[in-house]
Amino acid sequence: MSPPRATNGRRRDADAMETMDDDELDSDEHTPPHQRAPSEEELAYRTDLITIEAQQHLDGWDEDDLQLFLELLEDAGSELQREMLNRAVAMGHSPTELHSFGDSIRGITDEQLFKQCTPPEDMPVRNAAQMELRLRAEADPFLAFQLNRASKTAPPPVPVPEPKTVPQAEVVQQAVQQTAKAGLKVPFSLSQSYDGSRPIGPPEPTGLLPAVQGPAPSGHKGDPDSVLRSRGPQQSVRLPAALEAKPPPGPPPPPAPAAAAPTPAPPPAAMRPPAPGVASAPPVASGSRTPVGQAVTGPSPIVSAARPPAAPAAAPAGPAPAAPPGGAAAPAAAQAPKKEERKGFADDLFNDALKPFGLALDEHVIDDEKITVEKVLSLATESLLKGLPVPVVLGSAKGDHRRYALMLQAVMSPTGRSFQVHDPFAQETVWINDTDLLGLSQLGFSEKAHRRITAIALAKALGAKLA
Amino acid sequence: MNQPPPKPVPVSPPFAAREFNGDGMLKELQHLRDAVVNQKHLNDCALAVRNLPNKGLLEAMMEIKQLAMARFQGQPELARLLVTWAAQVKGPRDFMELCGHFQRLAISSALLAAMYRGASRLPNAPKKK
Repeated sequence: MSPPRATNGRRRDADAMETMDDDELDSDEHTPPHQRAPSEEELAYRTDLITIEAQQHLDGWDEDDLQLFLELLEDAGSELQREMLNRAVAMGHSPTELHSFGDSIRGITDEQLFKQCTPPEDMPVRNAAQMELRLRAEADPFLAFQLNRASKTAPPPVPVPEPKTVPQAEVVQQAVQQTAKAGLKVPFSLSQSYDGSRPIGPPEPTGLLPAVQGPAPSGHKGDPDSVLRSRGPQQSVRLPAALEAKPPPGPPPPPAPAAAAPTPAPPPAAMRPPAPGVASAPPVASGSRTPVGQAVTGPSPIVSAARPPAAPAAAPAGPAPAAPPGGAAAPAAAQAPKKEERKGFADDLFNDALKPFGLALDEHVIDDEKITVEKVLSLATESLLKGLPVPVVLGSAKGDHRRYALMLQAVMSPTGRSFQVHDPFAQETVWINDTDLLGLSQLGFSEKAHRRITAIALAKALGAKLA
Repeated sequence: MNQPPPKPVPVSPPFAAREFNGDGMLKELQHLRDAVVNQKHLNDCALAVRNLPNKGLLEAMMEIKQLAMARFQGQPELARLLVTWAAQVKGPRDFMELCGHFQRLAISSALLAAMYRGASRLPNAPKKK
Protein backbone atom coordinates (compact mmCIF):
# COMPACT_ATOMS: atom_id res chain seq x y z
CA MET A 1 0.00 0.00 0.00
CA SER A 2 1.58 3.18 -1.12
CA PRO A 3 1.77 6.03 1.36
CA PRO A 4 -0.48 9.00 0.76
CA ARG A 5 1.08 11.53 -1.49
CA ALA A 6 2.21 14.61 0.31
CA THR A 7 1.57 17.83 -1.50
CA ASN A 8 3.90 20.05 0.43
CA GLY A 9 1.72 22.99 -0.44
CA ARG A 10 1.76 22.28 -4.15
CA ARG A 11 -0.98 21.24 -6.44
CA ARG A 12 -2.16 17.70 -6.03
CA ASP A 13 -1.82 17.04 -9.73
CA ALA A 14 1.79 18.00 -9.62
CA ASP A 15 2.68 14.58 -10.99
CA ALA A 16 1.28 15.81 -14.25
CA MET A 17 4.13 18.27 -14.27
CA GLU A 18 6.77 15.61 -14.17
CA THR A 19 7.37 16.09 -17.82
CA MET A 20 8.63 19.57 -17.17
CA ASP A 21 12.33 20.02 -16.95
CA ASP A 22 12.48 20.79 -13.32
CA ASP A 23 14.68 18.41 -11.49
CA GLU A 24 14.12 20.05 -8.20
CA LEU A 25 10.40 19.76 -8.55
CA ASP A 26 10.72 16.13 -9.47
CA SER A 27 12.94 15.40 -6.58
CA ASP A 28 10.49 17.14 -4.27
CA GLU A 29 7.55 15.25 -5.60
CA HIS A 30 9.22 11.92 -5.29
CA THR A 31 10.55 12.46 -1.83
CA PRO A 32 8.63 10.18 0.47
CA PRO A 33 6.70 12.13 3.05
CA HIS A 34 7.85 12.20 6.59
CA GLN A 35 5.68 9.92 8.58
CA ARG A 36 5.37 11.40 12.00
CA ALA A 37 2.90 10.16 14.49
CA PRO A 38 0.67 13.03 15.52
CA SER A 39 0.79 13.95 19.13
CA GLU A 40 -2.15 13.42 21.40
CA GLU A 41 -2.85 17.10 21.40
CA GLU A 42 -2.83 17.25 17.61
CA LEU A 43 -5.19 14.33 17.40
CA ALA A 44 -7.52 15.94 19.87
CA TYR A 45 -7.40 19.12 17.87
CA ARG A 46 -8.09 17.35 14.59
CA THR A 47 -11.12 15.62 15.97
CA ASP A 48 -12.49 18.61 17.87
CA LEU A 49 -14.86 19.93 15.27
CA ILE A 50 -15.93 22.86 17.39
CA THR A 51 -12.39 24.07 17.77
CA ILE A 52 -11.79 23.67 14.08
CA GLU A 53 -14.90 25.63 13.29
CA ALA A 54 -14.01 28.28 15.82
CA GLN A 55 -10.55 28.50 14.33
CA GLN A 56 -12.05 29.10 10.90
CA HIS A 57 -13.96 32.05 12.28
CA LEU A 58 -10.99 33.34 14.21
CA ASP A 59 -8.95 33.33 11.02
CA GLY A 60 -11.20 36.05 9.72
CA TRP A 61 -10.82 38.31 12.73
CA ASP A 62 -8.62 41.34 13.01
CA GLU A 63 -5.44 41.21 14.99
CA ASP A 64 -6.89 43.47 17.67
CA ASP A 65 -10.00 41.39 18.03
CA LEU A 66 -7.93 38.25 18.32
CA GLN A 67 -5.82 39.80 21.00
CA LEU A 68 -8.88 40.91 22.91
CA PHE A 69 -10.39 37.47 22.56
CA LEU A 70 -7.26 35.91 23.98
CA GLU A 71 -7.56 38.27 26.93
CA LEU A 72 -11.15 37.23 27.28
CA LEU A 73 -10.08 33.61 27.49
CA GLU A 74 -7.45 34.48 30.03
CA ASP A 75 -9.98 36.35 32.12
CA ALA A 76 -12.47 33.50 32.00
CA GLY A 77 -13.00 32.04 35.43
CA SER A 78 -13.09 28.35 34.49
CA GLU A 79 -12.58 25.84 31.74
CA LEU A 80 -16.32 25.70 31.21
CA GLN A 81 -16.41 29.42 30.56
CA ARG A 82 -13.62 29.06 28.01
CA GLU A 83 -15.48 26.22 26.38
CA MET A 84 -18.62 28.31 26.15
CA LEU A 85 -16.68 31.14 24.60
CA ASN A 86 -15.13 28.71 22.15
CA ARG A 87 -18.54 27.40 21.17
CA ALA A 88 -19.89 30.90 20.77
CA VAL A 89 -17.03 31.68 18.40
CA ALA A 90 -17.76 28.50 16.48
CA MET A 91 -21.31 29.69 16.04
CA GLY A 92 -20.00 32.76 14.27
CA HIS A 93 -20.68 35.47 16.82
CA SER A 94 -18.83 38.74 16.45
CA PRO A 95 -16.04 39.91 18.75
CA THR A 96 -18.42 42.41 20.30
CA GLU A 97 -20.94 39.76 21.16
CA LEU A 98 -18.20 37.56 22.49
CA HIS A 99 -17.05 40.33 24.77
CA SER A 100 -20.51 40.98 25.95
CA PHE A 101 -21.07 37.29 26.55
CA GLY A 102 -17.73 36.87 28.27
CA ASP A 103 -18.43 39.78 30.59
CA SER A 104 -21.85 38.38 31.39
CA ILE A 105 -20.72 34.92 32.34
CA ARG A 106 -17.52 35.79 34.12
CA GLY A 107 -19.01 36.17 37.54
CA ILE A 108 -21.19 33.09 37.68
CA THR A 109 -20.50 29.56 38.83
CA ASP A 110 -20.08 26.65 36.47
CA GLU A 111 -23.35 25.15 37.57
CA GLN A 112 -25.27 28.32 36.83
CA LEU A 113 -23.38 28.78 33.61
CA PHE A 114 -24.30 25.31 32.44
CA LYS A 115 -27.94 25.94 33.26
CA GLN A 116 -28.00 29.30 31.56
CA CYS A 117 -26.27 28.07 28.43
CA THR A 118 -28.67 25.16 28.07
CA PRO A 119 -31.95 25.86 26.33
CA PRO A 120 -34.96 26.15 28.62
CA GLU A 121 -36.70 22.84 29.11
CA ASP A 122 -40.09 24.26 28.30
CA MET A 123 -38.93 25.58 24.97
CA PRO A 124 -41.68 24.83 22.44
CA VAL A 125 -40.79 22.55 19.54
CA ARG A 126 -44.12 22.32 17.83
CA ASN A 127 -43.11 23.51 14.41
CA ALA A 128 -40.03 23.56 12.26
CA ALA A 129 -38.99 27.08 13.20
CA GLN A 130 -39.26 26.30 16.89
CA MET A 131 -37.34 23.12 16.44
CA GLU A 132 -34.64 24.92 14.53
CA LEU A 133 -34.35 27.52 17.25
CA ARG A 134 -34.14 24.80 19.84
CA LEU A 135 -31.39 23.00 17.97
CA ARG A 136 -29.50 26.21 17.47
CA ALA A 137 -29.79 26.97 21.14
CA GLU A 138 -28.41 23.51 21.90
CA ALA A 139 -25.34 24.32 19.88
CA ASP A 140 -25.04 27.99 20.67
CA PRO A 141 -24.47 28.85 24.32
CA PHE A 142 -24.86 32.55 23.61
CA LEU A 143 -28.32 32.05 22.14
CA ALA A 144 -29.32 29.76 24.97
CA PHE A 145 -28.03 32.32 27.44
CA GLN A 146 -30.17 34.98 25.86
CA LEU A 147 -33.22 32.74 25.78
CA ASN A 148 -32.78 31.89 29.41
CA ARG A 149 -32.44 35.51 30.37
CA ALA A 150 -35.54 36.37 28.47
CA SER A 151 -37.45 33.44 29.83
CA LYS A 152 -39.53 33.95 32.92
CA THR A 153 -38.51 30.60 34.19
CA ALA A 154 -34.90 31.53 34.19
CA PRO A 155 -32.87 30.59 37.24
CA PRO A 156 -32.60 33.12 40.03
CA PRO A 157 -30.78 36.28 39.06
CA VAL A 158 -27.08 35.97 38.99
CA PRO A 159 -24.81 38.72 40.18
CA VAL A 160 -24.29 40.10 36.72
CA PRO A 161 -24.68 43.85 36.45
CA GLU A 162 -28.01 44.32 34.76
CA PRO A 163 -28.36 47.14 32.29
CA LYS A 164 -30.88 49.55 33.63
CA THR A 165 -32.43 52.76 32.53
CA VAL A 166 -31.35 55.53 34.77
CA PRO A 167 -33.64 58.49 35.27
CA GLN A 168 -32.43 61.76 33.87
CA ALA A 169 -32.15 63.51 37.20
CA GLU A 170 -29.99 60.73 38.57
CA VAL A 171 -27.73 60.78 35.55
CA VAL A 172 -27.24 64.50 35.76
CA GLN A 173 -26.56 64.24 39.45
CA GLN A 174 -23.99 61.52 38.97
CA ALA A 175 -22.43 63.33 36.09
CA VAL A 176 -22.00 66.50 38.04
CA GLN A 177 -20.52 64.69 40.98
CA GLN A 178 -18.07 62.80 38.86
CA THR A 179 -17.13 65.84 36.90
CA ALA A 180 -16.52 67.79 40.00
CA LYS A 181 -14.30 65.01 41.31
CA ALA A 182 -12.37 64.13 38.23
CA GLY A 183 -12.64 67.13 35.99
CA LEU A 184 -13.88 64.90 33.21
CA LYS A 185 -16.66 65.54 30.81
CA VAL A 186 -20.08 64.56 32.01
CA PRO A 187 -21.28 61.42 30.31
CA PHE A 188 -24.87 61.96 29.43
CA SER A 189 -26.96 60.26 26.89
CA LEU A 190 -28.92 62.56 24.70
CA SER A 191 -31.52 59.90 24.35
CA GLN A 192 -32.51 60.36 27.94
CA SER A 193 -33.28 64.00 27.63
CA TYR A 194 -34.18 64.36 24.01
CA ASP A 195 -36.34 61.42 23.25
CA GLY A 196 -38.44 63.46 20.91
CA SER A 197 -41.51 63.22 23.07
CA ARG A 198 -40.77 66.21 25.20
CA PRO A 199 -38.85 69.43 24.94
CA ILE A 200 -35.67 70.06 26.73
CA GLY A 201 -36.76 70.52 30.26
CA PRO A 202 -35.87 73.19 32.71
CA PRO A 203 -32.65 72.69 34.53
CA GLU A 204 -32.72 70.20 37.29
CA PRO A 205 -32.04 71.84 40.61
CA THR A 206 -28.72 70.14 40.82
CA GLY A 207 -26.45 73.08 41.27
CA LEU A 208 -25.12 72.10 37.89
CA LEU A 209 -22.98 75.08 37.29
CA PRO A 210 -20.65 76.60 39.75
CA ALA A 211 -21.94 79.97 40.77
CA VAL A 212 -18.50 81.27 41.40
CA GLN A 213 -15.88 80.89 38.81
CA GLY A 214 -12.63 80.05 40.34
CA PRO A 215 -9.29 80.10 38.62
CA ALA A 216 -9.25 78.70 35.17
CA PRO A 217 -8.31 75.10 34.63
CA SER A 218 -4.73 74.59 33.85
CA GLY A 219 -5.30 72.49 30.77
CA HIS A 220 -6.23 75.39 28.55
CA LYS A 221 -5.39 74.23 25.10
CA GLY A 222 -6.77 77.03 23.11
CA ASP A 223 -4.34 79.68 24.17
CA PRO A 224 -1.50 78.21 26.04
CA ASP A 225 0.16 81.54 26.50
CA SER A 226 -2.79 83.27 27.94
CA VAL A 227 -2.73 84.07 31.55
CA LEU A 228 -5.73 82.33 32.99
CA ARG A 229 -6.87 84.95 35.33
CA SER A 230 -9.36 84.23 37.95
CA ARG A 231 -12.30 86.49 38.20
CA GLY A 232 -13.79 87.69 41.34
CA PRO A 233 -16.98 86.28 42.68
CA GLN A 234 -20.15 86.36 40.70
CA GLN A 235 -21.13 89.90 41.59
CA SER A 236 -17.96 91.16 40.01
CA VAL A 237 -19.46 90.83 36.55
CA ARG A 238 -22.87 92.15 37.26
CA LEU A 239 -24.00 95.12 35.33
CA PRO A 240 -23.22 98.46 36.81
CA ALA A 241 -26.20 100.00 38.49
CA ALA A 242 -26.48 102.70 35.87
CA LEU A 243 -26.86 100.18 33.10
CA GLU A 244 -29.23 98.01 35.04
CA ALA A 245 -31.57 100.87 35.62
CA LYS A 246 -31.25 102.40 32.19
CA PRO A 247 -33.17 100.38 29.63
CA PRO A 248 -36.74 101.53 29.63
CA PRO A 249 -39.17 98.74 29.14
CA GLY A 250 -40.89 98.92 25.85
CA PRO A 251 -40.02 99.22 22.24
CA PRO A 252 -36.87 97.79 20.91
CA PRO A 253 -34.94 100.73 19.62
CA PRO A 254 -34.17 100.97 15.94
CA PRO A 255 -31.12 99.23 14.63
CA ALA A 256 -27.87 100.94 15.16
CA PRO A 257 -27.29 103.22 12.20
CA ALA A 258 -23.61 103.57 12.72
CA ALA A 259 -23.11 99.90 12.55
CA ALA A 260 -21.59 100.05 9.11
CA ALA A 261 -18.52 101.63 10.52
CA PRO A 262 -15.68 99.22 10.87
CA THR A 263 -15.13 97.81 14.24
CA PRO A 264 -12.66 99.90 16.10
CA ALA A 265 -9.90 97.89 17.54
CA PRO A 266 -10.32 97.51 21.23
CA PRO A 267 -7.97 99.56 23.26
CA PRO A 268 -4.88 97.96 24.63
CA ALA A 269 -5.46 95.98 27.71
CA ALA A 270 -3.83 98.51 29.91
CA MET A 271 -6.16 101.23 28.67
CA ARG A 272 -9.32 99.33 29.22
CA PRO A 273 -11.34 100.25 32.24
CA PRO A 274 -11.14 97.83 35.05
CA ALA A 275 -14.02 95.53 35.68
CA PRO A 276 -16.32 96.60 38.41
CA GLY A 277 -15.92 94.67 41.53
CA VAL A 278 -12.48 93.36 40.79
CA ALA A 279 -10.54 96.01 42.50
CA SER A 280 -9.04 93.45 44.80
CA ALA A 281 -7.61 91.55 41.88
CA PRO A 282 -4.24 92.50 40.51
CA PRO A 283 -4.86 95.55 38.39
CA VAL A 284 -2.83 94.43 35.43
CA ALA A 285 -4.30 90.98 34.92
CA SER A 286 -7.91 90.62 35.91
CA GLY A 287 -8.71 94.26 35.95
CA SER A 288 -7.63 94.79 32.39
CA ARG A 289 -10.61 92.98 31.00
CA THR A 290 -13.53 94.92 29.73
CA PRO A 291 -16.35 93.58 31.78
CA VAL A 292 -19.46 92.30 30.23
CA GLY A 293 -22.05 95.00 30.07
CA GLN A 294 -19.72 97.91 30.35
CA ALA A 295 -18.13 98.29 26.99
CA VAL A 296 -21.33 98.28 25.07
CA THR A 297 -24.44 100.25 25.52
CA GLY A 298 -26.30 99.87 22.28
CA PRO A 299 -29.68 98.32 21.85
CA SER A 300 -30.21 94.77 20.92
CA PRO A 301 -30.13 94.37 17.16
CA ILE A 302 -32.25 91.26 17.31
CA VAL A 303 -35.08 92.60 15.22
CA SER A 304 -32.96 94.13 12.55
CA ALA A 305 -30.66 91.19 12.42
CA ALA A 306 -33.52 88.89 11.82
CA ARG A 307 -34.10 90.21 8.36
CA PRO A 308 -31.26 89.61 6.05
CA PRO A 309 -32.52 92.05 3.40
CA ALA A 310 -32.34 94.91 5.85
CA ALA A 311 -28.96 93.95 7.07
CA PRO A 312 -26.60 94.17 4.13
CA ALA A 313 -25.80 97.85 3.93
CA ALA A 314 -26.11 98.54 7.58
CA ALA A 315 -24.13 95.65 8.81
CA PRO A 316 -23.77 96.46 12.42
CA ALA A 317 -20.20 96.39 13.36
CA GLY A 318 -18.60 97.45 16.48
CA PRO A 319 -20.10 98.92 19.51
CA ALA A 320 -23.30 100.68 18.64
CA PRO A 321 -23.97 104.11 20.00
CA ALA A 322 -26.16 104.53 22.97
CA ALA A 323 -29.83 104.06 22.38
CA PRO A 324 -31.79 107.18 21.73
CA PRO A 325 -33.96 108.27 24.57
CA GLY A 326 -37.13 106.31 24.72
CA GLY A 327 -39.48 109.26 24.26
CA ALA A 328 -38.63 109.90 20.63
CA ALA A 329 -39.18 106.33 19.65
CA ALA A 330 -42.57 106.02 21.28
CA PRO A 331 -44.65 105.87 18.10
CA ALA A 332 -42.43 103.27 16.64
CA ALA A 333 -42.74 101.30 19.81
CA ALA A 334 -46.43 100.77 19.29
CA GLN A 335 -45.72 99.09 15.99
CA ALA A 336 -42.75 97.17 17.18
CA PRO A 337 -42.70 93.67 15.78
CA LYS A 338 -43.95 91.04 18.09
CA LYS A 339 -41.54 88.69 19.74
CA GLU A 340 -42.88 85.72 17.86
CA GLU A 341 -41.66 87.23 14.62
CA ARG A 342 -38.12 87.50 15.79
CA LYS A 343 -35.71 85.38 13.83
CA GLY A 344 -32.02 84.95 14.09
CA PHE A 345 -29.62 84.83 11.23
CA ALA A 346 -30.04 81.17 10.41
CA ASP A 347 -32.73 79.95 12.77
CA ASP A 348 -34.63 78.38 9.94
CA LEU A 349 -31.60 76.47 8.69
CA PHE A 350 -30.78 75.13 12.13
CA ASN A 351 -34.36 74.10 12.70
CA ASP A 352 -34.57 72.38 9.36
CA ALA A 353 -31.38 70.52 10.19
CA LEU A 354 -32.66 69.40 13.57
CA LYS A 355 -36.19 68.58 12.52
CA PRO A 356 -35.46 64.82 12.31
CA PHE A 357 -34.46 64.89 15.95
CA GLY A 358 -37.51 66.78 17.11
CA LEU A 359 -35.38 69.69 18.26
CA ALA A 360 -35.74 73.39 17.59
CA LEU A 361 -33.32 76.21 18.25
CA ASP A 362 -33.73 79.92 18.77
CA GLU A 363 -30.93 82.25 17.91
CA HIS A 364 -30.24 85.02 20.40
CA VAL A 365 -28.09 88.03 19.80
CA ILE A 366 -26.08 88.91 22.85
CA ASP A 367 -26.79 92.49 23.78
CA ASP A 368 -24.92 92.51 27.05
CA GLU A 369 -27.97 93.95 28.73
CA LYS A 370 -30.77 91.46 28.83
CA ILE A 371 -28.78 88.69 27.26
CA THR A 372 -25.28 88.50 28.56
CA VAL A 373 -22.45 86.16 27.78
CA GLU A 374 -22.58 84.95 31.32
CA LYS A 375 -26.19 83.90 31.04
CA VAL A 376 -25.79 82.19 27.72
CA LEU A 377 -22.71 80.31 28.85
CA SER A 378 -24.69 78.75 31.65
CA LEU A 379 -27.42 77.71 29.28
CA ALA A 380 -24.90 76.51 26.73
CA THR A 381 -23.30 74.35 29.38
CA GLU A 382 -26.66 72.88 30.19
CA SER A 383 -27.30 72.13 26.56
CA LEU A 384 -23.87 70.59 26.03
CA LEU A 385 -24.19 68.40 29.08
CA LYS A 386 -27.38 67.05 27.61
CA GLY A 387 -25.59 66.24 24.40
CA LEU A 388 -26.73 69.06 22.17
CA PRO A 389 -23.93 71.05 20.51
CA VAL A 390 -24.47 74.79 20.48
CA PRO A 391 -23.97 77.02 17.44
CA VAL A 392 -22.49 80.40 18.27
CA VAL A 393 -21.48 83.46 16.29
CA LEU A 394 -18.04 84.89 16.86
CA GLY A 395 -16.99 88.47 16.42
CA SER A 396 -14.82 91.16 17.85
CA ALA A 397 -17.45 93.10 19.73
CA LYS A 398 -21.14 93.28 20.33
CA GLY A 399 -23.02 93.41 17.04
CA ASP A 400 -20.03 92.27 15.05
CA HIS A 401 -21.35 88.98 13.76
CA ARG A 402 -18.59 87.47 11.70
CA ARG A 403 -18.51 83.73 11.74
CA TYR A 404 -20.38 80.70 12.95
CA ALA A 405 -18.72 78.20 15.22
CA LEU A 406 -19.97 75.17 17.06
CA MET A 407 -19.57 74.53 20.76
CA LEU A 408 -18.95 70.81 20.99
CA GLN A 409 -18.60 70.09 24.64
CA ALA A 410 -18.09 71.62 28.02
CA VAL A 411 -15.80 70.38 30.71
CA MET A 412 -16.38 71.45 34.25
CA SER A 413 -13.88 71.25 37.00
CA PRO A 414 -13.77 72.73 40.44
CA THR A 415 -11.69 75.54 39.03
CA GLY A 416 -14.01 76.56 36.23
CA ARG A 417 -15.49 75.63 32.89
CA SER A 418 -13.91 75.13 29.53
CA PHE A 419 -15.70 74.93 26.23
CA GLN A 420 -14.50 73.24 23.10
CA VAL A 421 -15.38 75.38 20.12
CA HIS A 422 -14.96 74.31 16.52
CA ASP A 423 -14.61 76.84 13.73
CA PRO A 424 -15.65 74.88 10.64
CA PHE A 425 -14.45 77.55 8.24
CA ALA A 426 -10.91 77.67 9.52
CA GLN A 427 -11.01 74.02 10.56
CA GLU A 428 -9.84 74.93 14.00
CA THR A 429 -10.93 73.50 17.31
CA VAL A 430 -9.92 75.17 20.53
CA TRP A 431 -10.65 74.89 24.19
CA ILE A 432 -11.71 78.20 25.64
CA ASN A 433 -11.85 78.99 29.28
CA ASP A 434 -15.03 80.71 30.41
CA THR A 435 -12.93 83.51 31.81
CA ASP A 436 -11.69 84.24 28.32
CA LEU A 437 -15.18 84.00 26.91
CA LEU A 438 -16.43 86.51 29.44
CA GLY A 439 -13.65 88.93 28.70
CA LEU A 440 -12.47 90.36 25.46
CA SER A 441 -9.15 88.68 25.11
CA GLN A 442 -8.10 86.34 22.33
CA LEU A 443 -10.08 83.15 22.19
CA GLY A 444 -7.31 81.08 20.73
CA PHE A 445 -8.37 81.09 17.10
CA SER A 446 -5.91 82.06 14.44
CA GLU A 447 -8.34 84.80 13.42
CA LYS A 448 -7.56 87.30 16.11
CA ALA A 449 -10.71 89.32 15.49
CA HIS A 450 -12.74 86.58 17.07
CA ARG A 451 -12.76 87.79 20.60
CA ARG A 452 -16.18 86.96 21.86
CA ILE A 453 -19.52 85.33 21.28
CA THR A 454 -21.96 87.71 19.69
CA ALA A 455 -24.93 85.40 19.22
CA ILE A 456 -25.94 81.93 20.22
CA ALA A 457 -28.51 79.37 19.16
CA LEU A 458 -30.11 77.59 22.08
CA ALA A 459 -32.81 74.98 22.26
CA LYS A 460 -36.17 76.69 22.56
CA ALA A 461 -36.81 75.58 26.10
CA LEU A 462 -33.42 76.84 27.21
CA GLY A 463 -33.73 80.04 25.24
CA ALA A 464 -36.97 80.83 27.01
CA LYS A 465 -35.00 81.27 30.18
CA LEU A 466 -33.22 84.22 28.68
CA ALA A 467 -36.43 86.21 28.41
CA MET B 1 -31.03 40.95 54.25
CA ASN B 2 -30.08 44.17 52.61
CA GLN B 3 -27.27 44.02 50.15
CA PRO B 4 -25.23 47.12 49.56
CA PRO B 5 -26.09 48.79 46.28
CA PRO B 6 -23.76 47.76 43.48
CA LYS B 7 -21.04 50.20 42.71
CA PRO B 8 -21.65 52.14 39.51
CA VAL B 9 -19.42 50.79 36.79
CA PRO B 10 -17.15 53.56 35.54
CA VAL B 11 -17.09 54.49 31.90
CA SER B 12 -14.35 52.69 29.97
CA PRO B 13 -11.36 54.77 28.93
CA PRO B 14 -12.29 55.04 25.24
CA PHE B 15 -15.62 56.57 26.17
CA ALA B 16 -14.21 58.72 28.94
CA ALA B 17 -11.56 60.27 26.72
CA ARG B 18 -11.77 64.03 26.58
CA GLU B 19 -11.85 64.14 22.80
CA PHE B 20 -14.40 61.36 22.39
CA ASN B 21 -17.08 63.89 21.55
CA GLY B 22 -14.65 66.56 20.43
CA ASP B 23 -11.76 66.24 18.04
CA GLY B 24 -12.29 62.52 17.74
CA MET B 25 -15.86 63.00 16.69
CA LEU B 26 -14.88 65.64 14.13
CA LYS B 27 -12.33 63.27 12.62
CA GLU B 28 -14.96 60.57 12.37
CA LEU B 29 -17.26 63.05 10.73
CA GLN B 30 -14.61 63.97 8.21
CA HIS B 31 -13.96 60.33 7.52
CA LEU B 32 -17.64 59.67 6.95
CA ARG B 33 -17.88 62.64 4.63
CA ASP B 34 -14.95 61.34 2.64
CA ALA B 35 -16.78 58.05 2.36
CA VAL B 36 -19.84 59.89 1.06
CA VAL B 37 -22.02 58.97 3.98
CA ASN B 38 -24.74 61.57 3.80
CA GLN B 39 -26.72 63.33 6.47
CA LYS B 40 -29.72 61.13 6.06
CA HIS B 41 -27.74 58.06 6.95
CA LEU B 42 -26.31 59.75 10.00
CA ASN B 43 -29.79 60.80 11.09
CA ASP B 44 -31.10 57.29 10.57
CA CYS B 45 -28.27 55.88 12.58
CA ALA B 46 -28.77 58.38 15.41
CA LEU B 47 -32.47 57.71 15.54
CA ALA B 48 -31.90 53.97 15.44
CA VAL B 49 -29.60 54.02 18.44
CA ARG B 50 -31.74 56.52 20.31
CA ASN B 51 -34.02 53.94 21.87
CA LEU B 52 -31.47 51.23 22.39
CA PRO B 53 -30.52 52.20 25.95
CA ASN B 54 -34.00 51.21 27.04
CA LYS B 55 -33.26 47.61 26.15
CA GLY B 56 -30.98 45.07 27.69
CA LEU B 57 -27.34 45.37 26.84
CA LEU B 58 -27.06 42.09 24.99
CA GLU B 59 -30.18 42.73 23.01
CA ALA B 60 -29.03 46.22 22.17
CA MET B 61 -25.65 44.96 21.02
CA MET B 62 -27.37 42.46 18.78
CA GLU B 63 -29.41 45.26 17.30
CA ILE B 64 -26.32 47.31 16.65
CA LYS B 65 -24.82 44.37 14.83
CA GLN B 66 -28.00 44.05 12.84
CA LEU B 67 -27.89 47.74 12.02
CA ALA B 68 -24.35 47.49 10.81
CA MET B 69 -24.91 44.35 8.78
CA ALA B 70 -28.31 45.06 7.33
CA ARG B 71 -29.50 48.62 7.41
CA PHE B 72 -26.15 50.29 6.87
CA GLN B 73 -24.67 47.63 4.67
CA GLY B 74 -24.50 50.17 1.89
CA GLN B 75 -22.48 52.57 4.04
CA PRO B 76 -19.59 50.39 5.11
CA GLU B 77 -17.76 53.21 6.85
CA LEU B 78 -20.73 53.99 9.04
CA ALA B 79 -21.22 50.29 9.73
CA ARG B 80 -17.56 49.97 10.58
CA LEU B 81 -17.77 52.89 12.97
CA LEU B 82 -20.76 51.33 14.69
CA VAL B 83 -19.02 47.99 15.05
CA THR B 84 -15.75 49.55 16.15
CA TRP B 85 -17.33 51.48 18.99
CA ALA B 86 -19.63 48.63 19.89
CA ALA B 87 -16.58 46.46 20.36
CA GLN B 88 -15.37 48.84 23.05
CA VAL B 89 -18.54 48.63 25.08
CA LYS B 90 -17.95 46.97 28.41
CA GLY B 91 -21.06 47.92 30.32
CA PRO B 92 -24.32 49.81 30.31
CA ARG B 93 -22.74 53.20 30.80
CA ASP B 94 -20.40 52.65 27.91
CA PHE B 95 -23.38 51.79 25.85
CA MET B 96 -25.17 54.98 26.79
CA GLU B 97 -22.07 56.90 25.81
CA LEU B 98 -22.00 55.11 22.48
CA CYS B 99 -25.60 56.03 21.75
CA GLY B 100 -25.01 59.63 22.77
CA HIS B 101 -21.94 59.75 20.57
CA PHE B 102 -23.80 58.76 17.43
CA GLN B 103 -26.52 61.25 18.18
CA ARG B 104 -23.98 64.03 18.69
CA LEU B 105 -22.30 62.99 15.49
CA ALA B 106 -25.50 63.38 13.51
CA ILE B 107 -26.56 66.61 15.19
CA SER B 108 -23.13 68.19 14.83
CA SER B 109 -23.02 67.26 11.19
CA ALA B 110 -26.46 68.74 10.60
CA LEU B 111 -25.59 71.94 12.43
CA LEU B 112 -22.28 72.34 10.63
CA ALA B 113 -24.01 71.97 7.29
CA ALA B 114 -26.54 74.61 8.33
CA MET B 115 -23.69 76.90 9.37
CA TYR B 116 -22.07 76.64 6.00
CA ARG B 117 -25.30 77.54 4.34
CA GLY B 118 -26.09 80.35 6.75
CA ALA B 119 -22.63 81.87 6.91
CA SER B 120 -23.38 84.49 4.30
CA ARG B 121 -26.35 85.71 6.28
CA LEU B 122 -24.15 87.08 9.01
CA PRO B 123 -23.85 90.84 8.65
CA ASN B 124 -20.10 90.96 8.98
CA ALA B 125 -19.24 87.69 7.36
CA PRO B 126 -15.88 87.91 5.61
CA LYS B 127 -16.23 88.28 1.88
CA LYS B 128 -15.27 85.31 -0.21
CA LYS B 129 -12.20 85.92 -2.29
